[in-house]
Amino acid sequence: MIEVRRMRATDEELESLICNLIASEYGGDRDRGRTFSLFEMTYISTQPLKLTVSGQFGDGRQISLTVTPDLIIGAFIIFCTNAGIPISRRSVKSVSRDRNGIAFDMVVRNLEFDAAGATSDPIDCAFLPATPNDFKRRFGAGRLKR
Amino acid sequence: MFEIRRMRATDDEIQSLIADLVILDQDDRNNPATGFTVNQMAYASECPVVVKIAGRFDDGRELAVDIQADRLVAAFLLFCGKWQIPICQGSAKSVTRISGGIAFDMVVRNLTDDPNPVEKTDCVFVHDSCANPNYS
Repeated sequence: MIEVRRMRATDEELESLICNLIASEYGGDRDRGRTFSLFEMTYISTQPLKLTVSGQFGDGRQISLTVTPDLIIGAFIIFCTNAGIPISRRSVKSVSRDRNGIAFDMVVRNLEFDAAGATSDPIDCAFLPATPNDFKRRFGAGRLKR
Repeated sequence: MFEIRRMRATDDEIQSLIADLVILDQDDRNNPATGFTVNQMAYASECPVVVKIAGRFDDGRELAVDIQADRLVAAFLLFCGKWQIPICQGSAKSVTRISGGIAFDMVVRNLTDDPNPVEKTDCVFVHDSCANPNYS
């Protein structure tokens, strides 16, 4: 059996996801640094998906960076983890530009064999921390800033 | 944000899902059969999906029955319970006939408000109410 799963986010929701990602990844350990306000988000290309964002952390630091598909996937995964939405670790994940925003796709083939891996545990991605405690320490205070 | 989730099952897989459902649905709780084999399957209707099946229990009893769309949803939920696939209680669930099988769709609107996931259900005994986001 095959499962195809798509989450659709509007551009505004994508901004929130990216804020959360940047606050988590680049915000540092200080509480004020763990909030991020977005000034601008611009699409550079849609195939492959690439966009630039600029904004400011709660402690005043400003940042401008290019967001690639793997970072957007990371933003969706962080959202799912924080919201307690279970996702399959082994699914093939991709993002694409949609009419009204972004679509995050997860495809699982041979669902029966993958089922044991379906979990809401942290996802095994290179940029994510190794242990649940490490995860909580790094992402526990991450929040949407809009 | 919203989520659309589709599981696609071939006709052979549907037969297996329905066999599991029929086993669970047996009237005779005191002496239930442990296996059911679907011998024939045909689509009585495509919209809404209705499947006609004929088969035989392990103990020799024969059964021919129409499986309505809500029971097909139940069959998919049973499958998810069996394989510990997390599903969202608050999603609107439906089945659609597709080429070579059936698709089971789950749609969650306002994902941020009510993710409400169901994790690792052991078994689903009744079908989740189709297209009723308030079902709990």
